[in-house]
Amino acid sequence: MRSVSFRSFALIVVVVLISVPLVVTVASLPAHGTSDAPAHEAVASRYVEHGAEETGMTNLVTAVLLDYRGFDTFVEVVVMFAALMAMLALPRGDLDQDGTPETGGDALTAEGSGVEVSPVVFYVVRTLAPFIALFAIAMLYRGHVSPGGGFQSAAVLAALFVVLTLVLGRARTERLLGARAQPWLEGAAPLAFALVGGAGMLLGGAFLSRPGHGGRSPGAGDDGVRAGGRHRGRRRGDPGPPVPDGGALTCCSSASTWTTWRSACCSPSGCT
Amino acid sequence: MTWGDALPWLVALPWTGAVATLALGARGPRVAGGLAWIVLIATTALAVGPVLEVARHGPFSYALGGWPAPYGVELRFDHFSAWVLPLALLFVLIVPFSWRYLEGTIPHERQAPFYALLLLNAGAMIGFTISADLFNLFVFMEVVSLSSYALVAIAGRGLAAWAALKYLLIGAVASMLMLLGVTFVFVLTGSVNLADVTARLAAGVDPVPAATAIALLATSFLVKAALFPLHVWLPDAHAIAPSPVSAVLSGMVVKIGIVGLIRLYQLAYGSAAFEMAGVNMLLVWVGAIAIVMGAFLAMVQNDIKLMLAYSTISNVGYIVMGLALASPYAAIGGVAHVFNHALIKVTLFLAAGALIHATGFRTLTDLSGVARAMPYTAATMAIGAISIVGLPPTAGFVCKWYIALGAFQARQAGFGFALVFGALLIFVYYVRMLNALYFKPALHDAVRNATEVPWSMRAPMLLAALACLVMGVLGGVPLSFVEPAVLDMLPAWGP
Amino acid sequence: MLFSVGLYMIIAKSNLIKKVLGLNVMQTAVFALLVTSGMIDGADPPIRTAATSAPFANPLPQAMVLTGIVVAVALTAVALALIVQIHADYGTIEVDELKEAP
Repeated sequence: MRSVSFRSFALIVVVVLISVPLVVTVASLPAHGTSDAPAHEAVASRYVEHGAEETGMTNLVTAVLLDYRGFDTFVEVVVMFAALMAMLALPRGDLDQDGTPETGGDALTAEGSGVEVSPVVFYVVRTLAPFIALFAIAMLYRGHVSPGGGFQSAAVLAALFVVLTLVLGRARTERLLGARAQPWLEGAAPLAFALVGGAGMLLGGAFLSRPGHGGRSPGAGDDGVRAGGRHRGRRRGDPGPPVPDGGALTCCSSASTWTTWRSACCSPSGCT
Repeated sequence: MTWGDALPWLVALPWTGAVATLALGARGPRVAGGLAWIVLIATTALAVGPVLEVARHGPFSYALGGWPAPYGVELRFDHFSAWVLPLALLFVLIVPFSWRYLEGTIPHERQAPFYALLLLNAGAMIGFTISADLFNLFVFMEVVSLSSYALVAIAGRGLAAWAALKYLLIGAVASMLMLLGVTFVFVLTGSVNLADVTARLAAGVDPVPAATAIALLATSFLVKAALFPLHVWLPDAHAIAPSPVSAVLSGMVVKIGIVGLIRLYQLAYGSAAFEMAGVNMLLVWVGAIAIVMGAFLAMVQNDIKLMLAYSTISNVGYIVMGLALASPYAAIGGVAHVFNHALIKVTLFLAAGALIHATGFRTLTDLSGVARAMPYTAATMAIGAISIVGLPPTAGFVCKWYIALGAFQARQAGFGFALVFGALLIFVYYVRMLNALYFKPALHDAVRNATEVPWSMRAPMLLAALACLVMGVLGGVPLSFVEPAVLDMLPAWGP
Repeated sequence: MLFSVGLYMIIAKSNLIKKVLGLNVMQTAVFALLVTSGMIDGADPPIRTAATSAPFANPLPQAMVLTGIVVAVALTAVALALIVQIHADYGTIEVDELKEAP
């Protein structure tokens, strides 16, 4: 016992030692909340003052995310893809035989290990599902003029798929999306970014550039980049009516989000 | 078209390849492995151009999205970025080695994700090396780390998952330290572009938060580089991962932390906002301790892969010490050792992988006497060992020689001796290893009757070993390459 | 402070899930600091429509935090999957018990 309490005491000391400099640092940071803080002087002014004209997006966060710093977002999408790869790469499948998942009340394994789902949960989820989907789509439409953008929309949609998988079982959800298309759906987001990047380059701009910016004439590539803006689904940013391919790409992106989560949930259940 | 246009594709090409590998890999592991190899060869070919360009005309940048530097993300290819060429090239060696190695180690349906992860990892490391934007560095770092965690976990159940989780938790804390550092930098300067930040820091800011920010970033990079007290995650992860993955992790992923550290040095020296002498002194000490401790811990291992993993810790000590001594010779040697150590470690891990693959054993005791059955592999191992000790005709010698010279140049002769002492320790354990492989009688029939690995594994291994020898003769090439960049980076150096 | 709480949790808790939660607390701390750095008192959200007017909050940190969140999600997902595996193999997710297991 003594060693345990000594250990936790030592831990507290270590954590305090790390925390004190951090707190001092935060306290000595330039005051925020005023518009002349360095954080606002350097690059932000350009985004705020010219962002709307330069990118054609109303939501400046989207403008930064998908245009000024679109490359970051490309990498971010790949982070997601890497997580998905991680799920696929993890060993699994031999769990059910030894019947191991005796996870006391771990909801995640409910479906795979054949635990009964309460009928109440089942019906509530089944009834609500279309409305949740509708809500997500509505958020997508409103996204570009409200704070936070369409980010939550895809999150809601992805959560819906996770819940559906948990409650209805994998087979039925799989029918909804088609198993064969899965790898392509999973890779859709990074692929789309690379394609859009290439398109920008072919049209005489830079990687991920918006043709039309920097004196080049706007052409077919404009749509490409718009679709790029839209294909994330989560942060649809451009004003104007959505085009069909944008919608399809939105689904891809949500699907890739969803699949990640589904894999996360299902690696315990031992399905392939 | 300029070579700048090639830069985003150095990243996008392997990543696109990763998606394709996953999608087409469903047709079988051969398709996935072959595709990954082709993509990597293409990437390597693409990397040649920028490297020649930087050698001829100096560093160049590329503004992504056409937005000028502080507003958009900037890619910058300087002399240090030339590291992407050997990096991609080593991947080209590792992938064919994996083809046969994975047989029987990883079930077929999981091989496509394996190659996809390797490609993601390669692309992200290239991106990290050429990015000139702090936040972009962070995101690239995440892709590198995440794919590394997965590659460790891929080895199997239980222990592998546990090692991967340890790696993940420590790595994730390090990432958050980095993001916190980036946040502080952003609040201070309002920018995340490296050059822009340097200029703004030089213009004068409150030193306290600036120093904390730099300290956080440095800690984060050093965790990723597994410098001695921060190394705890490394041995398990590197030893448990499949051997080709160990080669990637030990040879290259660890170096990402070093590349980050180099970028940080550029920032700190460039802005002249910090008194670096104290920090450097600390790092030199830590580096020296790492050399000796790493070597010592390696000496007591019986598992060859654990031994190699600890030897990585020791070598990271060399690199950090070289950088922190901050004298031209030492820094040049340190930077060049990034490349040479990668080459040597890949050689050694591939050879170790071949031994394990052919015999099923992984401890020195069990493997004794294997040289008679597997002469090629044992020879590779020997060349790798001689190189890493730093004996004259090989790649390791030049760098260590430079670092030692640098120690004297910096009037820190004591550390020169620490280095030599570390080399002696390393010498002892590799002699022990070679002795076991060559001169001890075989204990097991499996070892006595082992057959040499197939050519798809033998060729990459032998090529890497050959490169170790060639780089010993051409040791000046990487040195002369980094020289202008290092001299440019270091503050004015007194006589 | 939140950062410290998270850090403490990661080190001190022996339950792996709690460690991951601690990691999330820590991430949230960094995100909160980053996103407040872009704030200006009384500013509108950075969306250019007829209904909003200057000053606008700085969009850059918001964009960075969104990226950061995605990274955090990915990390958490992988961590949880690994924990599930460990549980399946060892039947425990307490570090103290795991140390004895192998």
